[in-house]
Amino acid sequence: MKVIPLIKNETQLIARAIKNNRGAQQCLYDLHSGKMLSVCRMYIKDLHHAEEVMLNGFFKVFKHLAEFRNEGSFEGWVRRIMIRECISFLRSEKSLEIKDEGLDDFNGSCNDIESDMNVDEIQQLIDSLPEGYKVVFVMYAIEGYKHQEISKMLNINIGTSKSQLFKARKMLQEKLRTQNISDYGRVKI
Amino acid sequence: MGELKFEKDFSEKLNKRKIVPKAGSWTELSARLNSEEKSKNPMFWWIGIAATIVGGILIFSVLFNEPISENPIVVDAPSKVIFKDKSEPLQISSEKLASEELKSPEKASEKPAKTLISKKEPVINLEPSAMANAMDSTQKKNDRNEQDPDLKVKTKISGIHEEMIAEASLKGIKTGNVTDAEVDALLAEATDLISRERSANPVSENIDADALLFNAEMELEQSFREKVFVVLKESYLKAKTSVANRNN
Repeated sequence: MKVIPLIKNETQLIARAIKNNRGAQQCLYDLHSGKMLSVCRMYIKDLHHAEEVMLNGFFKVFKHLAEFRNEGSFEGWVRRIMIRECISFLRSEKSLEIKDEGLDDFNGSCNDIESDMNVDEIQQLIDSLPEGYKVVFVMYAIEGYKHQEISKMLNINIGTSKSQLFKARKMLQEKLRTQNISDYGRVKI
Repeated sequence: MGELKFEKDFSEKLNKRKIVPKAGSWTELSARLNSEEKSKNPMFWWIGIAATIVGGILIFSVLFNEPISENPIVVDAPSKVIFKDKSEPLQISSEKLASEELKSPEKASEKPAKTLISKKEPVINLEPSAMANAMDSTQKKNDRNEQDPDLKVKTKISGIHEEMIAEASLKGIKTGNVTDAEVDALLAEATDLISRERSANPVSENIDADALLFNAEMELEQSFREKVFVVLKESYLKAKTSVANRNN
């Protein structure tokens, strides 16, 4: 019951924002800026840079708002713009170098590891990953992109995307294992 | 490759997260949007101004190129036209005169006959010295009227008439008898001669090619000036309105 008026409000806001209504644009910004800054923060370690990238993303959103056709959700459309903006930022910083690495020493994923970490700890864990691993992992595991989409967006092979994900998972599992052991130790103490 | 347990947990927690941007981030963004909008408008005006300038240059180039290319054509065309126009009426007038005189010899003869009848008595009474004076005066008149073709024709005819009258009077003096039939015959001969002369020499000697060229050029120059003034006025008005709109 509450969702329908919200969607109606959002479409009205979008219609006004297309006509450069600053009030409507501010409403849309206030609605989505928190989530979008979180998205940018997943890819970019520095919060100040993440915020800058988010502002660039919103600038593009309002500039090309007339191109949004209400086919999907507005949040999804904005999210995609933000992710592209983050990738282009990382490329400009030359920190995003993805190399094709083999899967020779990887024997499959272990699905028994659980985590009981809070958001900040998870973010810290993700930040500890190399840029290539991190971007592919976030895009696949958090954003839900397929390897084909990731390979297109990052201009890499599907195999490279898969290998990056495997390596990221392996590193995270190892870190989680060590963290769990230390946590158990703490509990014991 | 399926989703791992910890990945599900990560995804849930991270997707729920919201990070509040620093205060004043919206003002920064709105300032950028405002500057973008402002930069759009001057671009529009600059494009408009540039388009008018380019249009003006094109029009000027077209106008300046026209006289060079058209000169030889334009100069040739009017000269022909003017030549025809001027020659035709002259020919027609001379031909008409001749034909009228030929077709109606009675009419033509009647008029001079009447004049002869009226002038007969004084002419007969004239002495040869007086006749010579009269001839000189007619020659002077002819010299004066040489410039005007119509006057020339008229004076020529009148001169011939006078010569004939003089001859007739001399004959009359010598013989003492001048019949109307002789006078008519002489007049017919004279008109025939004149018509032959005219048909042999169409009034080409009166047309000055240089003068015609000069006239044509003057006409062209006038029209070109008018065009330039019109274009200048239009472009000035356009610029004026665009500046006024920009100020508004």
